Parts: sequence; C-alpha cells; structure tokens
Amino acid sequence: MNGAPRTGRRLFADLLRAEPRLLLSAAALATLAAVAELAPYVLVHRMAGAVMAPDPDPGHLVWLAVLMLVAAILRLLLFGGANILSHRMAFRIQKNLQVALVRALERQPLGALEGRAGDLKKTLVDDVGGLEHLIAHTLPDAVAGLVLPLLAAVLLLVVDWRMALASLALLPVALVAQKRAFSGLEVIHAQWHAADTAANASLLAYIRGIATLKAHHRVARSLGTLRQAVHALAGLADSITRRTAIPYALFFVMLSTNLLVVLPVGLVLHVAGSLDVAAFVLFVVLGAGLTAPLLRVMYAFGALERQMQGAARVAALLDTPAVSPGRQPPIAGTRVGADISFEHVSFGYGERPDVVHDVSFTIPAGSIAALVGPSGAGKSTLVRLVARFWDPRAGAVHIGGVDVRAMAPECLRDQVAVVFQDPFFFNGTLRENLVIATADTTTATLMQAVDAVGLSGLVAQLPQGLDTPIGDRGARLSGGERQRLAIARALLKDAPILLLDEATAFADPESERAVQRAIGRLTVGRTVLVVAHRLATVMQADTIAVLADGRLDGVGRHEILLRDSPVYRRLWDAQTGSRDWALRT
Amino acid sequence: MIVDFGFDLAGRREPRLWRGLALGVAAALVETIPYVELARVLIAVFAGRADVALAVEAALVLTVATMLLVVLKARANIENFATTYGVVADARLAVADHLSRLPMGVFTQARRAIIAELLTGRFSLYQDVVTHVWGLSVVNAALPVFLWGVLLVLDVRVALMAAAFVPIAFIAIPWSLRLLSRASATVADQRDDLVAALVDQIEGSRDLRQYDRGNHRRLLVEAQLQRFEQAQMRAELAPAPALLAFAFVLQLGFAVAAIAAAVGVSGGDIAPAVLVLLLVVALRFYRSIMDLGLNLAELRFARETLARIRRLAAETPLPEPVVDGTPTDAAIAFKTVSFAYEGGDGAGLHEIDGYIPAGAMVALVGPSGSGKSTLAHLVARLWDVGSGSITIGGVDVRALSAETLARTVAMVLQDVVLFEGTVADNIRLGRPDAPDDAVEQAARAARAHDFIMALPQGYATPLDAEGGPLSGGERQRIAIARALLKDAPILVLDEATANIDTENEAEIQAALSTLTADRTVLVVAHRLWTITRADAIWVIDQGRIVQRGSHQDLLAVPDGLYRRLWDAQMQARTWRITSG
Repeated sequence: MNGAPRTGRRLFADLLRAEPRLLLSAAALATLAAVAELAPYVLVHRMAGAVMAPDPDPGHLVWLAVLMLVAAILRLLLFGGANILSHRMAFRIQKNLQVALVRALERQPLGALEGRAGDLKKTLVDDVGGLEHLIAHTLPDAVAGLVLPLLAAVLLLVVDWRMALASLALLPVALVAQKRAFSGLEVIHAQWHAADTAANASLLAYIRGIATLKAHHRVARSLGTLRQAVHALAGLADSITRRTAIPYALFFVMLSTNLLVVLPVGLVLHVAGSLDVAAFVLFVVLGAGLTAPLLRVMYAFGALERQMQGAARVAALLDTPAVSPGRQPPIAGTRVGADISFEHVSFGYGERPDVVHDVSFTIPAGSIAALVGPSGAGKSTLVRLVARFWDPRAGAVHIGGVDVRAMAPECLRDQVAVVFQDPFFFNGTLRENLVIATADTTTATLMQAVDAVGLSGLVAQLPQGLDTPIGDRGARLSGGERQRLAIARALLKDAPILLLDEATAFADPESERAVQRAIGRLTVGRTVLVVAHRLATVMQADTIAVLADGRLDGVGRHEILLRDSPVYRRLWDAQTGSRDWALRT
Repeated sequence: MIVDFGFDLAGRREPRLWRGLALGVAAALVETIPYVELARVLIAVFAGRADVALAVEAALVLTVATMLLVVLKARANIENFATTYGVVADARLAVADHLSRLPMGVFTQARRAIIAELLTGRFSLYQDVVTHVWGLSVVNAALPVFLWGVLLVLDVRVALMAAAFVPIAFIAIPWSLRLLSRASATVADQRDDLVAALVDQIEGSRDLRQYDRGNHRRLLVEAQLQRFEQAQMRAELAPAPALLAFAFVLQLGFAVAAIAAAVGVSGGDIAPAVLVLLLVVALRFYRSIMDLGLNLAELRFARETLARIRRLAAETPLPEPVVDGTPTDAAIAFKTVSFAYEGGDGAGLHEIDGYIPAGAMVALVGPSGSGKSTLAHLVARLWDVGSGSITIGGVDVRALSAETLARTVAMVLQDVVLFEGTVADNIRLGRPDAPDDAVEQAARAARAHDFIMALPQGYATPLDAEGGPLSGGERQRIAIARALLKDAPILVLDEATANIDTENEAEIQAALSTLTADRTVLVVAHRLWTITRADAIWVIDQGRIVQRGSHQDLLAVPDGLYRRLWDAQMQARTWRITSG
C-alpha cells in the first residue's frame, strides 16, 4: 500500500463494504421493521374511519386492535433481527480490524513502536471498540430512522399533499437549529479528547506515584493539576451545554412537535370542508410524529462523528507502508559474514535534526565492541540502527558486507539477537517463553540454555518446573532472573551477532554476578556490540567507540582512548572518583 | 441495585440534581399540554362543532407550550449535564483520594494496571453513559405519569388497564440484568485477557519480532480474537428473551387497551373521539415507557464498571487512630514484626526484632525478594504489620495520624515519581506551604539548584506526567530536595542504584550525604560498598534477620551471607566483558 492513509470516513465505508451480506440483510430487516412501525398509525386512522361509520362493527374494531398487536410484535422481531445482524457484523469487523492491526504492527519499523504503547493500545482496543459500538448499535437505528419518515411522508403525500407539507413545515427550523447546535463540533470533540487525555494522564501519574503520595500524606484532591484536569471535563461539559442548549432543545422540540402546525392547519381545512375526519386523524397521529424518527438519524450521525478521529488513527496504523522489504538474501540459505560496519551513518528521529552524525567504524566478526559516552550521546540509537529499528538518513550499516536494508527481514532477524535492559516476556510458562526462540524445542535443549545462565536451580525449585507460569511480563521472576532468562533466549536463538543494550545495568546488584556469568557464556564466538554505562566493564573490549553528541570522539582500545579521547578520559575520571563513596562519609 | 448512577460516590449532596430533576418533570408536564389541546379539538371535530376560532386557540396554546418546552428543556439540559459531570468528577476524585488511604498491598503490579484502566478509560465510559441517561430517564419517567393522567380523565377503565401492564413489563428489567450479568461476567474476563494479550503484542513487539519466528504468539492472539467474537455474540444475545418479553408485554398492554376502548365504543360507553384520543395518548404513553426501558438498559454499559468502582471504594483503608500520638524521639523499634503478602506472593517477614536509636543509620541488605524493602515500607506504614509492632519514639505507628507519620518519616524511593505541576510544586510535595526561599535552599542542598535554574522557567518550569524534561539523575535530586524540605527526623531510603547516569553519580552522592546527616536513617542498600559506614547492618534472607553487625564484623564471618554478597559484588565490579 502506498500514499496517504485513508480518512476515518473512508475506512468506515470500506469496513461496511467488506461485509455486504450482513450489511444488506441488517438494513433490509431494519427497513421492514420501519414498515411495521408505521402500521399502528395507519390502523388508528382506520379505526377512526370505522368508528365514524354510521354503524360501527365491534368485530372489525377488535380485529384492527389485534392487527396493531401483530404489527408491533413483527416490528420487535424484525428490529431485533436487524440488531443481531448488526452486532454480528460489528463483532466480525472488530475482530478483522484487530487481526489486521496486529499484523500491521509487524510491518512498522520497530523504532516507530517504542514509547508508543499507550497510543497504540488506545487504537487497537478503544478506537476499534468505538467503531464496533457504532456499527452494532447505531446502524439499525439510523436505517429505521431514515426509512420511517420517508415512507410516512410518501403515504401522507398520497392522502393529502397540503397536510403533508404542514407536517414537514417545522423541519427547516429544526435543521437551522441543528446547524447552530452542532457548529464547531469538531473543535469541541478535539477539546474534549484533549481534556479527557489530560485527565487520564494525570490520574495515571497519580496511581504510579501512590506510594510517594502516601508517604507525603497527599490525596488526589490536594494535587492542583490533577484536580483541575478532572474538573476540566465537567467545566467543558458545562460550557458546551450552555452554548448549545437552546439550539439543541429547539432542534429536538421542532422535530417532535409537528402538531403545532398540523392541528391548526388541519382544523382550518376541515372547517373549510376539504379534509375529512379520518384523514384529519391520520395527520394528527402520523403527521405529528413524522419527523421525530430523524432524531435517531441525528444521534447516529453524532455517534459517527465522534468515532471518526479514532477511525483515522486506525487507518493511519493500517495504511503505513511496510519497512522496505529488502531483496532476497544474497546467497540463499546461508548466512552472511558476522562483521558489522557503520559507513558514514547519520540519523535523526522524524522531522527532528540528526542525533547521529557521520559515524564510521568497523567491528570485525567475532570481536567485542563497546559503545560508551554520556547519556543522550546516541549509543542506543546506533544499536537500533543495526537491528533496523530505523534506517539511517545517510550512510549505511553493513553486516558481512551487505547493507542491512538489502537483507530480507528474516535473514537479518536470524543474524542478530538483541538483549535489552528491560526484556519482555508474555504471560505464559517459562517453556512457552523459551521455545519461540528456537526450532529445537526439546526439553533437553531448553534446559541446557537454562543451565548455561545459572537458572537450573530456580527451575528445579519451581512447582511445575519449566511449565510454571511466570506471570504478567514475567512478574514472578526477579529482575536478575528475567535478565538471565532473556540471555537464555538469546542463547537458544544462537545468532552470530549479539547486541547488548545496557544489559549489564539493572535494578538488583545482588544478582549482577550471575547475569555477568550468563553474558560471558553468551558472548563466546559471537560478534558483540555492547552499550555500557560503566567503563570498567568494557575496558577489555576489542573496540571501544566513544560517542558524544552523536559524533565519534574516538575509536580504539582502552589505553589508546585514555590518551586520545578527552570525552573518554573525563568519563573514566568521573567514574573512578565515585566508586568508593559510602553514605555518611 | 437496578438503577444505579453512582452519584453517591462523590460523597457530597448536590442540590442541583433536584433542580434538574424538577425542570425535567416540568418539561414533561408541558409536553402533555398539546395532548390536552388535541382532546379539545378532536372532541369538537367528532361532534362537528369545530371552527376557525378553535384553530386559532390551538395555534396559540401550542405555540406557547412549544416555546415553554424549548426553554425548559434547555434549562434542564444545562442543569443536568453541568451537575452530573461535576458530581461524576468529584466521584472520580473521591475514589482517587480513597486509593491513597489504602494499604499498598492493594497495588500489586497486576492490580495497579486494572485500577489505572478503571479510573481512566472505563471511568470515561461510565461517565458518558450516566450523564446522558440521567436527563433522558428523568423525562421519560415523568412523561408517562402525566400522559396517564390524561388517559385517566378520558376513561378510567382503559387507563387502569393500560397501567396494569407496565409493572409486569418492568419485572423483565431485573430479569434481563440477571441474564446479562451472568453472560457479561465471562465476557468481561475474556475482554481483560484479550486486552492484556493485545498490549503484550504491542509492548513485546521488540522481543517478539526477533524471537517469535513462527508467529506463534500472533496466531494465539488471533485465535483468542476469534473466540472473543463468539463470546461477545453470546453475551449480546443473552438478555434478548427478557428484553423481548418487556417489549411484548408493553405492546400487549397497548393492544388490550385498544381492544377495550374499541369494545367500549361499540357498546356506546366511549365516544368515538375519545377512542381516537385514547389510542393517540396511549401510543405516546407506551413509547416513552419503552424509551425509559431502553435508557435504563443503556446503563448496562456502565454497570460492570460501576460495580468495580464500588468494590474499590469499599476497600478498607488503613485505620486512623482516634487520638494522635506524639513520638518522644526519632528512635525506631521493631517488636516481633511479622508480615505476609496477600495471596502468599513475596517472602513476607517473620518475627523481626530490632532497635534503631535516634540519629543512627541502619542498612538493610539481602538478596532481592528477601523482604528488606518491605520492612522499610512498614515504617512509613505503606502497609500494616501482620503481628508485632513498629514504634517510633515509643509510639506505635498505627497510633500516629497519617499526617503526623508523614511529618516524622521521609521516604526517598528508588523509583522517583514526579507529578504534573512546576518543579517547585514537586519539591513542595511534603510541605505545600513552604516559602520560596526554603524550596531553593533545599534544592541547593540537594545539588539541584543549578540544573533547575538552567531550565527555561527555573523553578516555575512545568513538568509533565512522565517527569520530563528531567533526566533520571535530576529526578533523583528533586526527590532528595523534597525530603530535605520536609525535614523529617526519620529518613527511609530505598537506595537508588539503577537508572542513574554515571555522570551524575557524584552529585547525587553529595546530595545524599547532606540528606542523611543528623537523621535516623533506615537505608535499603543494594550496593554494599555504599553502606560500609552504617552504624549497623541487618542482613535479611527470606524474611528473617540472619546477621547483624558492623561492616567489619560481618565481613569477618567467612561463610556468612553478608560475606558471600560482598564477594559477589566485588567480583561483579571487576568484571570485564570479553569474548570467552
């Protein structure tokens, strides 16, 4: 797919079109339900005619009443059927959308997903849910609300065109009022969305900081920003209602008070002798309520309008083009070499200026290279460029002499393993979290990896061994255990290139030694690129690249850099100075 | 409760709710005027005595009634929306306030996410449903009553017959809710699982993409989506029989009334005009009852959420003492303190005894998950002890009011949380009334003044909910400034080691040294070399103190846990990454 993403409306239309049978049958049932809804009014009119007859037939009157009941029940069943179909359609569309969105996630450059979990969850869950609700609940209403007045108008026009016009006389007033009431709706929706987002962000921060707040004896209401953010919604509701209350009430009343015109006009015509009693009754019952169903249409449009921003977000995610797919691997079936070279690489996020400037250096296959530098120097960014979270703006990253952009994604994936500081595990068992990384899923193989990272003792202690659930995101494991599990996973994957993104800095130093041993097992025989905070850790690396403000300040071994790189020397001095500090010196 | 808007959660009476209610009722009354006028007209028409004067009268009455209705509806809308949104906002804040009084045990990682979703996304949904349904249901409940009055005047028997079916129909509402809650409980669980799976798919994409080559996870999620589609359909269909019965009984009522009226006309008891009127009024009567039923059914979207909010609001807060105690000094004593986590998660604590004299520093060390942080948190009463007691200056912490305890104990946690507001607001967290110069003094002592002044608006720079634009080390120093400003005699320090950018380490160390001077300090230490000068070190393993003493004492025990931890950390510090 190329070009701009679809608009919300366009996506919505496409979604409906994708289920033509359900759409048409739901609409057909809703239309029939509208016809059935019309029947009681016509029957009241017939009844009026019957009682005006010189000698009313009681059997006929009862028959008409029974017919009313039948029509009403028919309407219930038809409308219920329409609703069932619209729900079926909505649930199916919801599922298909979510499946498509989960697949769309896989097409995004990984960098584009980082730090956007909240937004993406909103799109995948809330925005799609909004569309589901819209289709399920408003579709039959909108169809019936549109068909009913149309049918009634035709019927009334046939009976008496003057009275039919009288029944419609207030519609223009209603439409003008509606235009007033709903003007600036998009602005209001945007304001509302912003206020809602702000209130939610404040509440999330509050819940995140609940321990801190308890310790300071502060409650939600004592936090000015939070209190204001939550009350801002009420304030906005108030000001919106104040502005729109009169036109909105006018619109509402004008649609449902046709009697105002129908009654006097009908009377005048009746007195003039050109409208008989039965027709008068018909207009009093049907004409008076002619335009009221349009309210349902308006509600439906309101609901549609509210969902369009969400739909646009869904479309934006669905329609973003894939990362360029790359060519087939140069030599099918075999791996390329495991050396990495950065060639005049520059990179910046989005529209922002470059954060990496013209970086060039080479990491020979099987050697260890470290990226060091002050925070914000671009170390993690460089690592991400190797794993192709992003593509460089200028220059290229080569693996085994091949531009990573020219490699098939599967080939690159098999070539590179990344261990992050905060590895992710899904809510499942230890085994489930490990087997995905390898084709060889035997317990022996898994246990070998578990043993290599020093976790076999833990597994032996667990009630169900490898089949013990590890909780949401591995919550039942300690930080050090999670880290080692991530290393076991990388061992199982057995990729020739290993990227360690601050994998040696973590929350509990108690298990640091164990993690270090595990890393020691993992680095054997691989090309390693490691981002390090503590310089001492990487002082024996084959290559150390010093980054400052996105530029290389030096490349080489520790001793060389101590001599040649001012940045490296400063970092080294600062760290050796603070090492032996103790509280209360 | 069948009809539950949850307005009581706000914890205050809102007289304007009644005003909105009264306006809605008045609007419903005015809405019946056209039917009265219609009665006059139809009776005249059927009697053949309609004239133009009547037409003029009808036009006048209806115009006035319509104008009045517009005004009343507008006023009712303003009252209802402004009031209900205000009440609901207060309810949200009241529940949020309540959270801060609960023991921290409520906030397990899994529950924290659920609570967060409950107070944000799900609350918005609840809010929109109840605020809209409130105004509508008021009108739709009042209108049938007035219309029924019109029916009563027209014909008592038919009116009684029409009314008889309404209570029968409304029996179906609790029935439908019963059917619904049974079905929606399972679907709600499935929805939670599904959302969790989708979020996993998003947050785990970095790792899944490099490991899950067979797309196993995605296929599982797709299967889950498929199952959810079916479950949703089943839940949607569940209340259908009851809703159909509701509508059917109402329609039956209308038909019976119509038949009775028709029979009445044939028997000559009821005038033809009255028959038509009865039918016209009855049609509207049943439609508004139908709408009321639908309005109330609409509440089902908020029901599950409201039930969860109520459960949260009903959780027991930590009890507050009736009389506030006064600690004599800043000594802390632990007397056979035991504590267990709900559900048996985590190690808990077993019979901890110990005394920290005022002004002394005790370090808690031990493997991760040993319970050392838990013990520190008990001092600040984030939880209550299971048995035994913790006293500060001779007073049980449970006998201190939350305010006194907060004034006595300052806590600096590993995970620094900043709140929206200015830098100064954040430093003032524990002393909201502190003057500007005190804030600056604390910031200077915390080595934070310089970077704060480098911010675009200095102390007035607003921070976002994520604490931006500050770095990890800078946030740490804000937290230290906070504690310094609060100036509590006892300091609980969860020594922060991760997330510190190494350049800032020296600054933070200097700030911490200032903070710990002249206070009673309980420090949870991860990096052992930082607490070698503590007055005492308590080594905790699996919830028990297994060793205590000074650094030198403990190091001298060759097979002790402290020695093992120390050796491992010393080795870790000298570790070098090499290719095998």
